Amino acid sequence: MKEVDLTTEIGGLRLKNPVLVASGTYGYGLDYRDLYDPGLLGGIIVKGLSLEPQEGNPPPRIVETPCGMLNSIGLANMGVKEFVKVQLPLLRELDTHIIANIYGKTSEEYQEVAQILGDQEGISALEVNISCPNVKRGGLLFGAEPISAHEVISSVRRVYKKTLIAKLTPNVTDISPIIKAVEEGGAEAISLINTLRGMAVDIHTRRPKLGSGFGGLSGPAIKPIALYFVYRAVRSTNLPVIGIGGIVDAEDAIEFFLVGAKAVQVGTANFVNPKAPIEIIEGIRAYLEYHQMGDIKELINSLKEC
Amino acid sequence: MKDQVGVVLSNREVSRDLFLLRLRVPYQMRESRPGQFVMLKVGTSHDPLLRRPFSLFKVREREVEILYKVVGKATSMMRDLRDGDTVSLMGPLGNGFQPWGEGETPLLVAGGIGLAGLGLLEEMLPEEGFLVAGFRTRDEAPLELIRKRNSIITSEDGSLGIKGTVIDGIEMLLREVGKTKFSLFACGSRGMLKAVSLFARSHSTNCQLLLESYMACGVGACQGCVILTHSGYKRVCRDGPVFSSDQIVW
Repeated sequence: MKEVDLTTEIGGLRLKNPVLVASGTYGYGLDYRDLYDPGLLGGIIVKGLSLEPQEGNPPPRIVETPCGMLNSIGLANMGVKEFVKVQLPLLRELDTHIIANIYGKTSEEYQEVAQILGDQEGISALEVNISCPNVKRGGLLFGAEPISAHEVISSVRRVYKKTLIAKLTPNVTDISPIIKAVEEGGAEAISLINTLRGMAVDIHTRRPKLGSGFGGLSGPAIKPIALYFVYRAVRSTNLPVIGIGGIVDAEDAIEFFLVGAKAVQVGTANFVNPKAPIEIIEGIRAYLEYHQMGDIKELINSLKEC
Repeated sequence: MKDQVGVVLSNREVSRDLFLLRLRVPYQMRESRPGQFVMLKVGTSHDPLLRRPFSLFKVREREVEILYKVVGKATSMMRDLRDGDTVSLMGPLGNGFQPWGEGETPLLVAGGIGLAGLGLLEEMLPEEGFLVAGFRTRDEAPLELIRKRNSIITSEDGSLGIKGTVIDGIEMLLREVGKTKFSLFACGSRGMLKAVSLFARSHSTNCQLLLESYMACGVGACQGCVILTHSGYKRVCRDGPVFSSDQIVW
């Protein structure tokens, strides 16, 4: 039997398979290499990078909740310059696309980070984080309003020539105007959802369990919400949509393809089962073979009406 | 580091709420260093979702022992493990203890379940090495796991050994052995570790602490388990879990 075709396209970017690892859950790309070759992935989205190094939020930064977890890492990162100097040379050795997630406090900062990365060989695309719930300035503020979302994406677009992905927040009433804004700003694809704002309280100390009070919820608990956002997004734009949110196995991923995602990102599952992305790739292949589909494109957006 | 399936050989209560889990693993873990840990998960349920970090208490060729305390949902599931059940464990992870210096005498300081983090080091102790193990009450102390030679046991209620904390135990030891240059290796609650650190500073003694933290990944990827040090936030999983006591901001 002919090998099934798992390749998928995100704007100008051709992925050998549709399984990426989500920013913030995979470090700078090499933390799991003892367990498998990260080059097997469709792509790696590295930890969000800012112009200057960030210390991040006070601990505790992690708390588990039913079927999920809250985090308030606060975009702790080594800064884009250190990343380019120290990490990127190692990542160039991998046989997969490296996508840099970027973040800034102002649209000028986003632009500057994009400019630095645009000059670098080995970065295939940028995912612009306008949706982090854990930073006081920028992040979610940009992604929750069409005007600021447009401003950030268009300022990055002006200096960055390769594929541009806007990562969107579910913490909005209606996502359609945000999608329209980033599309007009020059995004070639969107990825969603980032984490949902949430909190947990210790009833004995009467304090929030997270050091910064609240955080972002991820994991299987948010999958139905994520799936619905992707479903809605696919029906409101022609941009390729990358599905994110609670994907832990191939069945989860296939649900996202059925509603129209052209690729998926595996996030929290990396913590639980580091080999999940590889098992998902194999599971998708097996599903397609079983259903006699030769190409993942036959699966994408093939949801039947209820 | 490997991700492997461990088969339960035994799982028994060694003192109140403290259990010793013995696992057979396919890959040998002999290279594990004292202070290292594994990320363990029971079953495939999403609740609890994350793996939990546990110190390696003892390691033989293809056998691993984990000493754990039942405190919540995940450890309750561990308590219910029967012989032949399987768990997933990833490791060994983290940096272990640095060896003690020449002319120094190692002194292990365990607070309660902190004993779990010192098991591998205890096996390497020379004859003149010491252990101080502190508990709140007698029924919390897994006596069978505590070395007989050169050990001092304390209990807060006086029901076992010396009445008091590990600090009282260390001070008694100092009175007994006189002028000895110790190197401290401590594991226990945050309050206990702080007390040991202050003691080490006031006695100009080298002191390494094995810390614990809530973790998600265990390998340094998520930056979730950080603690504040004098050189900024450090990841307990990757930069630790062992830290020199003078690095920690209390």
